[in-house]
Amino acid sequence: MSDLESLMKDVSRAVQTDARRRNLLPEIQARLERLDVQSQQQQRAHGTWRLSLVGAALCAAGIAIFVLRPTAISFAVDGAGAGRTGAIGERLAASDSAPLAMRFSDGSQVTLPPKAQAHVDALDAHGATVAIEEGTVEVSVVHRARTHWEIRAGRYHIRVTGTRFAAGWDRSTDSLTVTMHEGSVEVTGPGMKAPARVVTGQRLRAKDVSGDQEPSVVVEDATVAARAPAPAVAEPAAPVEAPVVAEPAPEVEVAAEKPPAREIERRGGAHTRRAPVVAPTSKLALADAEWRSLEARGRFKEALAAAIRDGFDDGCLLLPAQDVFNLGETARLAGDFRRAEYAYQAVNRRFPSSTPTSTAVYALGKIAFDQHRDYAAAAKWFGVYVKRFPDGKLISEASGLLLVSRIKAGDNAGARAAAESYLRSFKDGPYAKLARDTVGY
Amino acid sequence: MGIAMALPREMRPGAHVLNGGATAYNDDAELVAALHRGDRAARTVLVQRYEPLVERLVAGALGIDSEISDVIQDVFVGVFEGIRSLKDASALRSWIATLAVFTARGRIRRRRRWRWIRFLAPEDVPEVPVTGPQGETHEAVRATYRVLDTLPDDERMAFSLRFISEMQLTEVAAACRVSLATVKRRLARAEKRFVEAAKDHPALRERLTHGGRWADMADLAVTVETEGES
Repeated sequence: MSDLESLMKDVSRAVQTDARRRNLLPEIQARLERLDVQSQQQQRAHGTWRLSLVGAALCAAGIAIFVLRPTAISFAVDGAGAGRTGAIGERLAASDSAPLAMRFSDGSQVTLPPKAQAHVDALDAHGATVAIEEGTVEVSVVHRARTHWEIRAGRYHIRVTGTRFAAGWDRSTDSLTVTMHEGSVEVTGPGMKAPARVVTGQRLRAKDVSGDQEPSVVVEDATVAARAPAPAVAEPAAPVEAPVVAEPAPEVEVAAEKPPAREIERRGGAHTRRAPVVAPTSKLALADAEWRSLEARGRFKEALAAAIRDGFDDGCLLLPAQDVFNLGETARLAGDFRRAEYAYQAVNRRFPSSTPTSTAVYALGKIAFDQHRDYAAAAKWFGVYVKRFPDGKLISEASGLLLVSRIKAGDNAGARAAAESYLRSFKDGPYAKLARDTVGY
Repeated sequence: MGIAMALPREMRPGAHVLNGGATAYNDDAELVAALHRGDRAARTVLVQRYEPLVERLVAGALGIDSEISDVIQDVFVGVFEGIRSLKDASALRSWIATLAVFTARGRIRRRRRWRWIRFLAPEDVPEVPVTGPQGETHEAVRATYRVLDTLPDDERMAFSLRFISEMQLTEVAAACRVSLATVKRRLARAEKRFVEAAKDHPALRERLTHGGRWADMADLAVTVETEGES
């Protein structure tokens, strides 16, 4: 028998003995029993439900014939005063201090912030047409079969199916702004030969003819447009009770890679430029996108290559939080830390309170720590985690790594503050000894 | 003594004696037919019959690990969820083995992804209390799985199935759903990597200083690669 086989025999004996000693069979059978009970309960509930459904369906069928006739939807107005039923053409103006909501019977809602004005142009069985007179209204339309909803602002029309967005109208400049929160809309109006499609994460800015200027339309990434100048990062100057660190600004080199705002059409003048009106829909969003299956099989380099081919950067700007986070994970596990950071930062920026955001922030700290050995940056990200996610599942690790990062960055005062904070929460944690040494230093 | 303790560890398909002495589901065909009918007693028999096999494969893949029980449970949940798709009852054993291999590999992959996130500074890594064998064997076991953690998943599975779970090459190939040649190639690469990495672990290095197979690893790898290609 070779050395390898002899060694493996010993290993085999050890692990099998360990597993056998645990006597796993009763535990396994108990779990299967529990699953059985759950399954039976579900079946019983199903059976009862089916019987009830048959009875109810018979009753409902008769009633439905009379009730479910195509009737126009209605709406109620909730504002500073008591709720009341609204009427077509009635001018609705929010007060200077309180918003006003138009609640439609199909579940949709249009909210006017203070000082905004609008009215309902039309109501039918499938939706409504709301005209904005002034201000930025928040629109939430419930999607149904044959939904026909429209928002009008000046000469612009926004066709809606089911979505959430903000539509702003500045009548002094005849300017429209549409910011998509969810779903997509099509906008028609001056300066557009074809409908302009605006999707989640994008913003459309359109300006009607004004003076000697031609109408203009721009579709851009809403997060880029909204991005404020990079805040200065405050270095902790003195011991503090809890780590107080300004959130690091997105990396400039990463931000520079963002797709630029796309001027989709400008008529007249020497700068005429035509580009596709329809906004890009990322292939990465598809459930059967290649990168997903490759990522699930652990083939991260190939998954990343597929994601890059299908528009990694656009995906980070358009996809939901979990997908963007998964893109970051794919890049990280493929060893492309620059792209991983790009995706994690997109999660943090676009979805500040989503489920994967805390892990994305932590990951940014880890990459700064492990890959760049930039301990000041790592301390900033771990500080962000500790401050924003005190109940996060990685709070113990983040608190410990904040301490280590500050020590390595030479920030002794900050390290002592982090150590004191750590000891208050994790006096027996893995970094407790280091924390005690730091405090006593 | 419970049923589990009363049963022999490695129950092969065939006659099965229940606790009360009654014989039921003499072969896998009867067992699978009963499972297709939704017979709950058949399920118990299946668990009793194949738990040792699943345990051997999962424990071999994961080592001394607190998650073994969870993984084995996941395997059986998968078995009962998918049993209706099994048309050939004679393939029951290899089908369960495949499920066990893929479930264990999935757990290894998931753990590999999250290991990164649980990083601790080396000087602060706490000593985790470990149950199981002590002394030299304990060190060897721990070192073996540390080395296995560095191997690619597919090679690790081939290695642990062959050498720790002690499966035949053909069984490894069937469980991994690859050809015999592929398994041989994976094993050759895994052995080579294992030997190299083992040199950094005193507990393994001492066991592997007698030359023989280890000294000839490079030649062996070439030989097996050649066999695999043919």
